[in-house]
Amino acid sequence: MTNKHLWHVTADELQAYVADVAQTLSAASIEAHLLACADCRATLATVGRSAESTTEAMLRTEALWARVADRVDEPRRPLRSSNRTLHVSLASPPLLAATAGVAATLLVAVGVVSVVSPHWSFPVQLALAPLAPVVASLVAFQPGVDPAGQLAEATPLAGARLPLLRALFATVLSLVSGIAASAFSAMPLNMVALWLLPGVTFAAIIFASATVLNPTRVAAPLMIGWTVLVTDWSRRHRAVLTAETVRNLLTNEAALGWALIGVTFAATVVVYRRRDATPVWRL
Amino acid sequence: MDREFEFSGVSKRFGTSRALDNLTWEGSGQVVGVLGPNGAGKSTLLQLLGTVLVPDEGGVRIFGLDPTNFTQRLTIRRQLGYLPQTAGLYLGFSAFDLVDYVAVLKEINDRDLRRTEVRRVLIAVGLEADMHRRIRKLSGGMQRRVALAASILGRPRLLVLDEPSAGLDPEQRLRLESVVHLARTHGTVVMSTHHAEEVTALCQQVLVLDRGQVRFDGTPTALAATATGRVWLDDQADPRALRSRGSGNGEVRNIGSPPPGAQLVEPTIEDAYLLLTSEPGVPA
Repeated sequence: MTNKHLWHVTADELQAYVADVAQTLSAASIEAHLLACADCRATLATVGRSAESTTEAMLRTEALWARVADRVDEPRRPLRSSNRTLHVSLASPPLLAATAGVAATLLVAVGVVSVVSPHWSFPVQLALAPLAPVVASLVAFQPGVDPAGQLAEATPLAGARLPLLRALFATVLSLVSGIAASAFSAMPLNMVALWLLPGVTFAAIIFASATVLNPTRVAAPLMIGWTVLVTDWSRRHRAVLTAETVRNLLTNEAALGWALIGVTFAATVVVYRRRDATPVWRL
Repeated sequence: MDREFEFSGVSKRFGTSRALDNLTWEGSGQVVGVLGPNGAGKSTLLQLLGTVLVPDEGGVRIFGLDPTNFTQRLTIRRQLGYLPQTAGLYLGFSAFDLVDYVAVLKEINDRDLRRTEVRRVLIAVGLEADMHRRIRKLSGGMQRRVALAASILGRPRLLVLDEPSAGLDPEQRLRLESVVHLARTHGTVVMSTHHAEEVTALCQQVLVLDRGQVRFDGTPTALAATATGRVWLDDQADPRALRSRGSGNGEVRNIGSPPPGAQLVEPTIEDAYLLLTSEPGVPA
């Protein structure tokens, strides 16, 4: 800085001048000074470049945010089509997360047991797999996961269609997980679907019970009972615990008969409970 | 006309706090406004009417039916519209998709009828231009109107609105008034509000709740009349008044026991409400 001038324009004043927010008198004074002072002109050039680069950076950031916002709001095709065909029921993120979580638990549990004690991988898969759709369906019944939030709580619900669609979705996800889990338990692929039999029966009974009382009250004893049954059966047949034994257990006439009775009973209850489902809305 | 709803000695607690205390009340066939300070039990009362809560003590009957019985509750819900205080909508859906989904939950299964009804209610709340925008992109007031649209689907026999005007600007509140007027032609409307002028404009019956108890139940005119001779004007707040509030023209409306020679004025509903909730009184 030279001594040629008694004062110099401060950086703040120059920034205000560049941004065109300086007071009129102040701007005139700065302008007059700049005409005479080379030092301040040099500083002005720096401030100008800095202001320009700041503006450019802000514009770049805004453009980036706009792109991010557009991306976030861009309709996701698979979910959008689910919305249309299945009345948005499958697009509930908590339901997706719960189902995926249950399926992942199944996969990890069977994988860990197959490493620690391969002998028990069949029973563990048999005990856990049917529970996956049940747990996911239970989550689907909770008001907190509904896309309509509290608005859904006071509605009569859409017959059995909506929960059944949710259960179907949960079951499909769980089936994928079951197929993956069979890689650890060495269960033949053609037997993977066997666990669907108790799974579907449980889900049907819980849906039927939901037309009368809180489904959790039915699901909890069902799940505990099933786990106890499988554990007890596995202990008693420990010596002959093979894939063939498991298949024989699930495909014997008594098991199939009980499953059929369970599903038929549940369907009858659902139909009976909804027999007067005539909407009274004034459309 | 038969009573649309009836509360008999209803109490409801949340932990140690008593939201409703031995409340007895009934109503039918009109627009009922529920006034009360925060924590008075308004939302609890409306949640009981909306069949999303059950009382700890006492009984609630809606259309003569018991909402704690599954089958009867189903029958009630097939004639009920309920707007909760906080809807908690999934922001990823468009307004149309969300209302369509609620229509499915309300068993409006015919696709064409349902779509027509969804459009009708969205237009009724003034969302015709925004019905296909994602809820995330809508303002708070517009999101509130989406929830309102879902609650009036099917022209319910009983419409329960928990603070429907919260977050609405004056123009939207006018729209709300027309929605409520229309809903009145199909059945009973029960709405909680903090705006006394809404009660004046819309309601034939008003209920004032305070600390879980009914402080007043009657017409808006009768409510205003309870403060007759208890409101006076002054140029400043009178320390002897229970409550004082500005009147907008520089004068202060004092509410309470007027001093001798006070300039008494005609009370408004708001005056009466403030008087009722300011002094410890015997519940109505």
